[in-house]
Amino acid sequence: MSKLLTIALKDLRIAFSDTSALILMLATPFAISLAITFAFGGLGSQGGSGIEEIPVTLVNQDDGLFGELLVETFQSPELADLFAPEMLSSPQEARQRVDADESAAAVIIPAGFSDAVFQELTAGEASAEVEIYANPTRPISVSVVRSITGSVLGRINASYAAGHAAVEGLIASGLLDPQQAGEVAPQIGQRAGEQVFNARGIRVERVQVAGQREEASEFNWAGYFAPSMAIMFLMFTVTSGARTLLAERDNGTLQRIFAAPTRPWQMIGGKVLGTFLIGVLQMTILALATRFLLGVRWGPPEAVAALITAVVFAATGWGVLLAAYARSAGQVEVAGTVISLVFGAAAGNFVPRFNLPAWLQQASYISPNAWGLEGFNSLASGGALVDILPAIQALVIMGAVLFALSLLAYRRQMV
Amino acid sequence: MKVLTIALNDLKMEFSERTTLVFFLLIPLAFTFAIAQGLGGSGGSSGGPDLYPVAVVDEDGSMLAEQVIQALQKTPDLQAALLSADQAAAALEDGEALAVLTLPAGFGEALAKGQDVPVRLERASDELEARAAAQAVENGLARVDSAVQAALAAVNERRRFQDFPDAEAEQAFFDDRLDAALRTLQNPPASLRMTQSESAAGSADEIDAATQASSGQLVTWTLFTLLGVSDMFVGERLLGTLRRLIASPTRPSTVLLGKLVGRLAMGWTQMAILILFGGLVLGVNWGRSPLALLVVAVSFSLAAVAFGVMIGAFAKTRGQAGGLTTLCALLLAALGGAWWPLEITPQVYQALVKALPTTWAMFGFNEVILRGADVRAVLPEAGMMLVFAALFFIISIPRLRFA
Repeated sequence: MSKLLTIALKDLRIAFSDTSALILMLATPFAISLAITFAFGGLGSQGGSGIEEIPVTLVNQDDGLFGELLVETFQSPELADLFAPEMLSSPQEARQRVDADESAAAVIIPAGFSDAVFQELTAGEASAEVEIYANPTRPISVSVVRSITGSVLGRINASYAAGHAAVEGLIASGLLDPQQAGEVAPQIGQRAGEQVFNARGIRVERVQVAGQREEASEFNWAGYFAPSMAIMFLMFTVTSGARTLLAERDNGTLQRIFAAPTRPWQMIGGKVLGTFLIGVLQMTILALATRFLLGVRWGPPEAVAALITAVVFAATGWGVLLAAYARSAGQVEVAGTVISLVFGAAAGNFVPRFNLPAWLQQASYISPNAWGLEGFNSLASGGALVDILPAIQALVIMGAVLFALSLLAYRRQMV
Repeated sequence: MKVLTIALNDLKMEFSERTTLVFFLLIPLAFTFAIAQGLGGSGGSSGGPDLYPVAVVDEDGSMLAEQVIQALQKTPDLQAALLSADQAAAALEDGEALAVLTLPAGFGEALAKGQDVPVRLERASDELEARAAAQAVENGLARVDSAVQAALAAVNERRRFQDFPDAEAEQAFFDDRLDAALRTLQNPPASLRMTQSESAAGSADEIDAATQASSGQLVTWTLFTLLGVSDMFVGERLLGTLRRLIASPTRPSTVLLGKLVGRLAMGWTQMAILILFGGLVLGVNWGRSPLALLVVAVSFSLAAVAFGVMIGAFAKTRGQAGGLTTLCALLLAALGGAWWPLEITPQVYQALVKALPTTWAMFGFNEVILRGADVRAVLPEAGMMLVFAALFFIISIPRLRFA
């Protein structure tokens, strides 16, 4: 047993004194987490998307109420953080601002826009169309501008529908002479429209399946990507550990050790234990560094520790399986990198997991990445040890099955 | 001539290893495909189901609640089933319903008075389909809400002229006006038209996820290849082959140039394959000007290979060179906007990352691909990348050791 530990600790020491290994194990995942925190949350905060002060150009050629309403909405104090609006008088100039990438979109309200809406009440012919001239290099900002414009137009249309329903209803009831409708319809329409405008109406409270209000758990980029990067680079570590096993066989050092009074199981067990310990230490350092330097919330320490152990156990299982069936250290290196990247991409280490197609999310449960990521996400959003027990169970079973499959081929491979 | 011989020799050696093909070709293609798929839903260009199955729970039982439900059931992209709370919870759990809308007790009364009417909308998961279903319910509700308010306003106007003879007549009038308002809102007068520059790719109406993903993946993976020149420099230096080459009647500048040309040829080949894959398989529109695309790609590759030489000049071992290549490739790509659009990052971030060549590469590719820019329009971006290339060469070449 002491020989097994000696071998494991020796590998641990070698890994943590090798600069290039440290770059891959710790510096790279930490640096990417740092970049993501910087990009999306601001250092030390748990913020969500950094979208703010979208430059939007407004051109209001309408002299009626609705054009003014649209402009006021973009200039309102409630949206002051979201938009940095500027007013121009020429649509041509506004389009040039967008083409020069100085604006995300130009909202162009045509002359006679309000009249065109009102005219519908009596004539029912004219149409009022607001143009959004979009900057194709800023699709997300454009979609925000579009959504706000759409909601204002929705309110304008609701007002119109109210006026239309009232006038038409009065005519149908015989209370309003169609000949007189042209004179009184605008007043009726305006009154009905105002009532609709001032009604507070249906307000949707979005709830996730767990029951908590959605606003309380806005997507946290840094909280998602810190464990995500740690798991992905853990896979590189364990497959690299597996490579050293075969490299020692290929170099002949394994045979020399076997010639000494060391049993094969002690040697192989020591190297596997070493890989496991390196993985645990790597994940722990990354968790502590991102927690205390970047302010990433990981969750209750005992649950995080349990999940780290389970994830590393399953990941080591994959490494050991590779070493058991590969023909050379070079093969392990290539297959290890491929597996690490494919598992990472499929499980959501590069793009948020919930954005992936459902079939890919299901398929990715073959990887420790998917179970680990879901477990860490659960802990970061307030979960406890009991919530991640299914993930831990799955990871332990995965590791055990992989170790068992590896044992079948080990003797042929190593001796 | 010697330059070409050295370049061809390096290419032959690189491609004689099967592993090169895996990293050079298979992984980049797989990632470009997977990430285009992953972003597809969020961008809105991927198709969802024709009808989103959702459940509605009516805890109110009022006439108004019933009318809201009926109107929701007529909403084009929803398949709304009226269920009890227990049935709805089970349907949500079994995946038979993607979202559950609950109309609480007092819903009808509050709505009729124009008061704040909170309703609960629970979605099955964070997955795209469930989020799209919840959004479809919200859109449907907004239309129904507008129509109900319009019908209530019409009832009030009717009262101003003449009171209703009885409650039944009032209800009949309301029902009729609600139908009329719903019809009006199907083809409303005020509308929105999305436009964009004529030279821009695709439609202004939707985000093309594959196009968004392809340029980012191109930058990420060719960075690995181009920065990989560092490993070659360090490896050959340690093996002594560089020293032997210098000992032959070959000038160091010829050796350096040969190595750079070989690596650039690899990078350009990889770019060409990724561009063809994006265009033919993912339907990416790579812009209107192949020349502009070429100018951006070549200037980016020069900046990247120069960065690789810089790593090669500072790294002492192959392990260090490999580790630094991975670290720098991932970081430069992520920070420069290849993984996420810079528009969603804070202004200070956007200003700071202009100090990276990858940011200018992404600016350039986006100009060409998304805006349909011509060569003249991308000269500033290309110029910046060439400045970076010159800077990296100036820093690294005096420090390069051949022995």
